[in-house]
Amino acid sequence: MDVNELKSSGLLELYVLGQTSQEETALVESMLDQHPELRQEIVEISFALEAYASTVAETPSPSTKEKLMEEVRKNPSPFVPGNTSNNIKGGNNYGWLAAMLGLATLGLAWFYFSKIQDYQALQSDYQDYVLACDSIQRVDSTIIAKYEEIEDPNNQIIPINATEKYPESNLYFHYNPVSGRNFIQIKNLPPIAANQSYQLWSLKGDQAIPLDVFQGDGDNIFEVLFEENSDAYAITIEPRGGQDTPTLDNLIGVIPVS
Amino acid sequence: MEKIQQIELLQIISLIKSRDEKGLSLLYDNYAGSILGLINNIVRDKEVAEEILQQTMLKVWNSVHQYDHNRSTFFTWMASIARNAAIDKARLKGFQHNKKTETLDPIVHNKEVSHISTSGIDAKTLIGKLDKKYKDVLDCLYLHGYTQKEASEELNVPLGTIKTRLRTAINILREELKNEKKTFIGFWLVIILLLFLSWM
Repeated sequence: MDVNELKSSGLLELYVLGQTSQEETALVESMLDQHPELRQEIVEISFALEAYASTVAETPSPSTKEKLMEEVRKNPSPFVPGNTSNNIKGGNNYGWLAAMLGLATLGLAWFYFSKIQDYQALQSDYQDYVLACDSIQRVDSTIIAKYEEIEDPNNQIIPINATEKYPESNLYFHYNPVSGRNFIQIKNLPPIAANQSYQLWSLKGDQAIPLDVFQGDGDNIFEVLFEENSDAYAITIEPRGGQDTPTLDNLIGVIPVS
Repeated sequence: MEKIQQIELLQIISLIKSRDEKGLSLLYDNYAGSILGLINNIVRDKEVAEEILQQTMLKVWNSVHQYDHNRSTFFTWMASIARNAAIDKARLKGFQHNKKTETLDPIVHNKEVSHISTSGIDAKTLIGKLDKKYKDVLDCLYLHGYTQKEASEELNVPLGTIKTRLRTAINILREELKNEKKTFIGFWLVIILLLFLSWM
């Protein structure tokens, strides 16, 4: 999944709400580590929710704050920086010895810490290489897993039936009713504007159930939702972010699966 | 309470990390209202909500070193502590009010609050921008603490729709906050220009 697909998947919003599964959380956090620009999305989503929360703000009773502050004072933290004080009184006859020992200690400490710094620099480089290797390995594993899935014998490869409006549309729908997984393989889709998205639908009888929303600018093979007992799947062009009901005028094509 | 600036929030967090009570007091003054509102929309019992508010603030005070600014904003972190405590309380056997069999009570939005959150945007404006179908999903997931599945059952819409509507609702709020910021900046630019012209 690339950055744009993650943004349009709705996972970031669910992550901020704390409603992602363990796997989804790991995915989001991995993407956040790899793409720091996603943090701005997290911040903006959080600000929007904070603004919404303020519309239901209530005034607590004064006693609540009093009880809280009292509780904090009764159980102060064991570590309070700057609380300790050392009083060193008087002098002694061994001051020169203490000074020499102090200098020697400083010298040894300087030597030790300079070696520590070299070691830490090497270790940091090593960690960077490990992270880079892990990242490449993760990407490779993901790609391998994807191709293993679509090569599964139960996987059906169904070309889209393009509509007259978009006759050049070319897409393979990888449908596996046994594993319950679908993949889309884009060959050619009609171009969309910046304020539009492609949207996948499950067709059951006369019902159209909204599924994935995507921009089509990421991987050309990617997983989409599987809906049990679908008669067919369809792809339309919708306003960016998708909507609840399909715009039939913008129907790109249908993929029959029943 | 006007929105505190990010730099003031950083100072508050720094005070709390230094175990300075003033930090906790300022945090409470700025955020207790919103946090209490979130809690009370889940537990629907003001007295219990205030207890949970106190526990939340105490937990923030004691666990501030666990806050990771790379993962969330400070408010989101606090709100998740509060909402989790409220959801746990609401699901306790002895506390259940059969919420799932009740229809959603209309959420009382504080329309009299003129200064809100991120940019001084008016509450009425913010809520007014949301269609009911988006507001219902946001209220279910954020204010009532429902899971996506519970929200899907409560609102009788497919799971995929819940996700789509949540995203749309939050995008609308984000756009509205950006527009308000632009209006605010534009207003001050005009004032400065007029002052400059009058000086000339």
